[in-house]
Amino acid sequence: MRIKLMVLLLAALSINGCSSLVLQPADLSWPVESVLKPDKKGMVEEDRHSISFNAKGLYFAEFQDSSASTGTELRMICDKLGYYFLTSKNFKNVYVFERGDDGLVMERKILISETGIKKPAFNQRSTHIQLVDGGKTYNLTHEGIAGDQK
Amino acid sequence: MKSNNFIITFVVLLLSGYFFLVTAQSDYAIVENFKAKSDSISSRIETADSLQQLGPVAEQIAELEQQFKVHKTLLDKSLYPYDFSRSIANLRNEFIIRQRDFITIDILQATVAELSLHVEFLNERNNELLVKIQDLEAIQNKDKKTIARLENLTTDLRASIYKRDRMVIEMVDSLMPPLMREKASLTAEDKQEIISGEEKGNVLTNVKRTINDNTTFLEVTSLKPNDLTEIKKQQGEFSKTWRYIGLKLIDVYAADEKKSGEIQTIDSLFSRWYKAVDKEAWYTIREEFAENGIQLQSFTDAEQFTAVVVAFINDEIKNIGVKSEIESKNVYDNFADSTWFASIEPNWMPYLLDNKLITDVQKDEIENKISEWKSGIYPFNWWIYLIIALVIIGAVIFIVLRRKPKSEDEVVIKE
Repeated sequence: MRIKLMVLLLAALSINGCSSLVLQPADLSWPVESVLKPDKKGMVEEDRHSISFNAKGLYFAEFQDSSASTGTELRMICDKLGYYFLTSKNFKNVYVFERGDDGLVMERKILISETGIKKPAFNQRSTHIQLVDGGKTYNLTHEGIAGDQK
Repeated sequence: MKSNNFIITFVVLLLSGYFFLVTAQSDYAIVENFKAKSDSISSRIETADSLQQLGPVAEQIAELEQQFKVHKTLLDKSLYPYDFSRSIANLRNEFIIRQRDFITIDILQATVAELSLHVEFLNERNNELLVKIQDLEAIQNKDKKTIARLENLTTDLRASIYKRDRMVIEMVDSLMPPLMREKASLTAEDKQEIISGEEKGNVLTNVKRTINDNTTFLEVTSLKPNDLTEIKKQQGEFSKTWRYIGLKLIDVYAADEKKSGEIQTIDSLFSRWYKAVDKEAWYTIREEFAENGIQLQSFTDAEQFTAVVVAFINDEIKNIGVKSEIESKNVYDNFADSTWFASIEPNWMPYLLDNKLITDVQKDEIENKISEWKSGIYPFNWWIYLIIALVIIGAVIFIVLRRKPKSEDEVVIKE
């Protein structure tokens, strides 16, 4: 019985020692979206937040053609929780990413329109990311479409 | 009643439609729109050619501020590194700086135009004085009255030329406001302002005329070392201002062959003026010898001067015994006592040495030659000094012997 108690105590202590430091509350949002142009190799650079990544995988996921990035504009915004929302003209989906050890890791793919988004634009809102497509708006979170489609 | 309801419904629909459009707008588009309008105003400020063109920009800044005030929160967050208020304040500052620049340019151009009138008047006056001096200089045997008149006219002309020079320097200086001078390269607008200022004051022509008149003045007058020192100082000031502005003018008139040619002419006139000042010293020195009856060959630099003077003295040394003694002594006295030691050595040598127009070695060469010449004219007769010395020694011995007291023995014998 004593031995079991000691093992439990040690386990509790070690769990406490391993817990990571969290700074809260935090707001990781970008005030306005960034419009990025992939270069020939598919690389995009976001100067203000010093982010760069290769977007070819995203275009391949959307069009099954990694060369489709040429001449397009990729729209990107980060919400309060630090999730990155990416889409582009003619994309059917909005892609949600989070930071991984070695790049951006897809969290979710949100289907917006089977016919493709015509004029996408992201807006930062207090509780969600707003996607504007011409006259239509969609309230997005990293979990999907939050509100009713207008 | 039905029509009232219809109107209300229509207005409500219209407003909701407007609201819908506003809410569906992209924040990014708003920010980019603000940036584009702000950049456009900034470029209008930069490219404005005049105060009149700049005028409406103040209203445009106010309109921009009013139009985007509603998006202040978004813009404050998005306009990194500035916020909305700072961006508007920056535009206003740009406007004020440019406005100040135009006001300075307007004042400077008015100054150039005003100075141009004064310069024109002085140009005419200087011409009249130059002609009068040339006429008087042409008279062979000048009486005291004529010489006095000539001196007065020369003084007047020198003062008048100096006054005109100051004005032309000011005109050249006024072509570019201080802000423009600090720029590494001038914009098309800056160049246009300079061209306009130059044309108003006819600056290049006046610079040419000023240098020409100064050179002519040196050619028709005989000046003292102090006058030349003053002229050199004035020349330095003028040249310094011209070097600075002239370099910029080369850039301004790069495409204008005629004006580029004028700038090159001014540069060559400057070197002619520099040479004329140096030449004037040698010319006046030769004149001073001539006034005392010593006719030297002409010379325009220290090397020639030394060679001419040494050759003259060598000739005179050779002629000792050939010419009469009185004649030889007269030439020496006129050369050495009345000219060299009376005027050249005390008055001109400090000027020539200070301005590096002659070296100490050259000066010593001439003075050694004068000593050699003097020894020939007035030889050192050692035997006269020997006789004088012997006479003096004899006289001293005689006096000493006479005063020697008589011995005691001699006294006793007498008793």
